[in-house]
Amino acid sequence: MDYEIVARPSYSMLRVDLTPGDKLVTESKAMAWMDTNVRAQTSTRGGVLSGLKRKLLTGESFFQNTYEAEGGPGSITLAPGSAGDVVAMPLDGELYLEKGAFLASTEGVKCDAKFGGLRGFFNEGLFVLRCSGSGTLFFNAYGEIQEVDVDGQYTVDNGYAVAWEPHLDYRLTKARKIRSFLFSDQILLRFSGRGKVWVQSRSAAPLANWIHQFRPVKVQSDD
Amino acid sequence: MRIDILSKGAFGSALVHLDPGDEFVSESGAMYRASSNVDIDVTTKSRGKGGILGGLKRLIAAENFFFSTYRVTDGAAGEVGLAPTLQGEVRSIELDGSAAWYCSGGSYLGSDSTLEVETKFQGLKGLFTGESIFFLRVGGSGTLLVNAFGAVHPIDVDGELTVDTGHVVAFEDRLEYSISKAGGSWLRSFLGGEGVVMNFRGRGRIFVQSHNPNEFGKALGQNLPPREG
Repeated sequence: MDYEIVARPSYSMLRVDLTPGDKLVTESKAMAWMDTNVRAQTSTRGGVLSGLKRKLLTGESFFQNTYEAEGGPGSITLAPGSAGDVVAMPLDGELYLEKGAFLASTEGVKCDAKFGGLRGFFNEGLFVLRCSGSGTLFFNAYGEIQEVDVDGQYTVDNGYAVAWEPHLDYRLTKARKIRSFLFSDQILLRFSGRGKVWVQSRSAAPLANWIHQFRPVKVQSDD
Repeated sequence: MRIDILSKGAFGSALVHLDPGDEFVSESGAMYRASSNVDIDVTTKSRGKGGILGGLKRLIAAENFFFSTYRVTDGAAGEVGLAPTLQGEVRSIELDGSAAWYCSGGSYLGSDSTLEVETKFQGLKGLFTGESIFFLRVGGSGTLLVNAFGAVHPIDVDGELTVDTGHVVAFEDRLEYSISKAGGSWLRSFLGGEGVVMNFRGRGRIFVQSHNPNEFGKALGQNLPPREG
């Protein structure tokens, strides 16, 4: 199985060339185009319960699609929902993904919802996605994805963390010495230990806040 | 201190490497990553004007202009990453003290703490068209970081240049400028859909941006359900 990530980092897409026998598991809405040798199977992968957990707890889709080439090699291109980066990672073990970050994987990788601790309570949802097994994992984010080697401690704004290795510890903190009484505190994730964190250079929440001012204002009525 | 501009395209950001004694200031909330030895101090105050009144003035100008100051605490080097909200480029501008820069409110990302940052609100004229025209004046010696919506295009003005306010990122204060409507009269300007323009005169450098954030905001905003008040 060959792949290529094109148009990084702004408008990345993932093209995978499948030979018969290769299987690619994708987020269900990710397929943008494919040739006629590629066949899709839609399943809840891991059973209904696993699918439900993924959907309800992490915001990932209930269904994941599995694509295979039949009758000859076939090519499929996947496009994430938002503009931004795609990263391919050889996995042998575990990786945690922020919700919405899963794009695709080879068959040997399984993804499941995991309780993310109270940190999620504040912003990104209570659960994160735990990907485990061996194979290749593709994840995407809004913005450029930057790989950070943590040795000791490192701080990431909550909402900008995309993925991290499971042996890193993390806890929620606030920016210290905040004297601003008008605005909400900045919630930070403090990673500690040794391992890698992937960070995105944009976040959807600030953009949504910015657009809010441009919404029409509701007309007050008397009834 | 050393600054790396990460990613040149739609998702530019800046990684500021701090040595002991260095201080860097940003729009509050711009920090998205930092080494753990970086202390983050959020105030309404940069050098020069500030305090509560300064903060309120910034609030009135419809900008979340509280500043964060970053410094390392433990005698070791550290780093802080700064990212804008919108898609677009990040550029650094070196100020050598010979000219100050005006930076449009939405384009300021951060600056050396050796630079003095003041808010300038071009209030009334802007209010007629619903566009807020709001600038920060940045003076002194050091590095200024600006962000653009889309691509940045530097222009060396020698003579005159007219730029729609929505496309102004930053400009040197050695340029004279006046603000006027594009269509000749306020009514014609309003009907013609053209906004407010800035007429620059003299010699100096301007950074313009390929897209107007307000136009994008309006295009998206009208598709959203109404908000309360």
